Amino acid sequence: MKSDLFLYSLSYIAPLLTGLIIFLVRGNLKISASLSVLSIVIATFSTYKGWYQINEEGLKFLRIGEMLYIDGFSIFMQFMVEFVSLFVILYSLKDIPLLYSHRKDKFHIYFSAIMLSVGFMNLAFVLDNLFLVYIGLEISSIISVYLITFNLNKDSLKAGFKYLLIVNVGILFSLLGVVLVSYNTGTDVLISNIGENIGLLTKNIALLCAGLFIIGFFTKAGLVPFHVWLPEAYAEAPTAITVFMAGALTKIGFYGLARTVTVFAFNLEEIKLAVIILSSLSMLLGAILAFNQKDIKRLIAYCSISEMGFISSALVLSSYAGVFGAIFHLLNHTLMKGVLFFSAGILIYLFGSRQIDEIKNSPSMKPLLVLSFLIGALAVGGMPPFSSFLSSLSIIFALSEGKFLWTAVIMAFSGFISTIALLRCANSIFWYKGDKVDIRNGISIPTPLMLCSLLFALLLIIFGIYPDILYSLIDSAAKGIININN
Amino acid sequence: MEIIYIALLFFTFVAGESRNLKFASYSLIPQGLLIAISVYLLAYMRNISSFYLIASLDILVRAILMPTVLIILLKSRLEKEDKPTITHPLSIALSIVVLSVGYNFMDTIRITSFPNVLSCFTAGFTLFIYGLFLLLSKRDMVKMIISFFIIENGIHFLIISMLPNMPKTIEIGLTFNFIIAILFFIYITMKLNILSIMEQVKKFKIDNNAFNFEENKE
Repeated sequence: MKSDLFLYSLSYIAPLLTGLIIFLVRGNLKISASLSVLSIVIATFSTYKGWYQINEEGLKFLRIGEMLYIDGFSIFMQFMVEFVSLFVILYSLKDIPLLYSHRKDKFHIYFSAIMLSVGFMNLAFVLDNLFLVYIGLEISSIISVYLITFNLNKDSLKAGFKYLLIVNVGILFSLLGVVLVSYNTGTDVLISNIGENIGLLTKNIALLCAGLFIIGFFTKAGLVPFHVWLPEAYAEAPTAITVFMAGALTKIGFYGLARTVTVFAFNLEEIKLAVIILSSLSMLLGAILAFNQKDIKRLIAYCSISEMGFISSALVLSSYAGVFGAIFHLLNHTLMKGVLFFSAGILIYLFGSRQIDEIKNSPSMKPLLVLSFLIGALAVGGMPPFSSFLSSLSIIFALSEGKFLWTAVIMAFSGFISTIALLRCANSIFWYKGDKVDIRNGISIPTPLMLCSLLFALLLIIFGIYPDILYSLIDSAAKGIININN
Repeated sequence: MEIIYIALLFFTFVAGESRNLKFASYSLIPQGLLIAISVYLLAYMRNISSFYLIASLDILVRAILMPTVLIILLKSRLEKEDKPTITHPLSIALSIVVLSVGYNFMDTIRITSFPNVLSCFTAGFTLFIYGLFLLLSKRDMVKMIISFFIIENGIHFLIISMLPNMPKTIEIGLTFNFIIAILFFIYITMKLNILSIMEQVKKFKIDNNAFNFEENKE
């Protein structure tokens, strides 16, 4: 039992310890990155052991000690965070020394902050008590502020301040929700018993609690109308950190939504409707606002808001198909945003600007870059053969089955608008007919940067053609979410 | 107890509405002390031993540590608040309305809907609402930190009043979160202050050079 506890705990102990060691040792960039990669490998091994046991023995969940509750969804989230952080570190290894050389004495803190953030996220994903989950998620969010403000210029500091303030205050509402449920049921609110506890609440109190959770986790996920921090934070953070935020940090909000609001939505139609209306707003507004952006990272950020609306709407459909589609799209969102932000990062690296008007070049110069950006843009629209096609389709079917055909139409429409916005940006950058802007100092793309982008693009295609690879993982995650409702 | 809560709300009002940021930060010290005193009193009256630890933690964190770092932060910037989104007299009037109406309204709600909560529930909720109001009405970064501080204090009171038997580890964890968040706020604001000072110095140098050039020309 003790060895089991230690083995499963490695998924968060390894990154947390590594984060502390890197911070204290103050090693150089390569040492910090190597230690980080090593700890992520250890964490992934630990997550895999949990996954293996659940899958092999056909268990619904693992309960280790009194504090840990591991089910398919915990495993899925841990895998995703570990995967994203691995590529973020590899990308940072080249990107950070080139673009942020003025901060070279703080590189070790940069890697330390990533590892601590990963550690606290992984810890939160396996904790049972919602108060402790809140503490873990909150600390990981706060630590990530250091990463957003890493450039230390006025804009990045202001974006970091806004993020810290809005997300902290917003997520306090979800803390109030936990307090209210706990007060009314007279017990500790655990993920394993939240379904039973919600059943004990009166309708008015349940609606109030669900409202508080929605405010808290929508703010964390960056969904409309609590999205104001997201475009600025995404734009001002270093590119690798933007990918980390899109692929891991905002997913914390979805973790919270899936563990709380989904359960309420299974019992109360009003909650389902409220979330779907807000999600539809996210889809539409995100796509429309993306259209007029002049900053490439902000453009992708608004597309991201739109896409996240797909996920939140599907999460509350109280059907296996909806939850399955939402989880599949959660992964695809990470991959799509990875491709797009990594590609945008390369453009920023080459041209020294985020403004679309200042990046003009021909496709023949960087064909692989053009290819990866286009794959990302088309995947956002849910085009075949990319995996987002399958997840979007599952969500559209689930929405139609759940009598939310109008949301399905909004979803298809906003996906289309986002793709058009991205393709228009690609056209303006790669097929510009006027005077081309020279790549600064004639530099070439560092291979690791291009590889990160291409690998994410490749995965979008592989998972689109062979979705079976992911089936058991997503199925187990979907069942994990649904099980806590029963 | 009622007098303590009213005094607490008074110092909160001073912290929220004082134009002098140093004075506003100093007002957080009696506010923190009053929070700790009320928790001590609740511990004594209700015989809840864990509250003694929480109250001691409150003195350390809310009455000493956090206001101190805020005062240190003010050494590197002007003590006058940036212009808020609404005029100062209106802000004062609205604050009085929010605090007084909020307190009385929540007291009625407490008696009718939450009969089992401790008395600090009303003050906690009023602090929470008032903190949100300040957050929306103020533009100064230090005032925003103070607003966050007030919201956090409100949540702290609400948790104590609704879940008095909550495990100490969770309460300590939440306080730890609060400390880290405030330290990050201070870090960002300090860096921004340094940047704006550097910008001003640079601008002054450029202006000075231009002036000297003009003078030499003449």
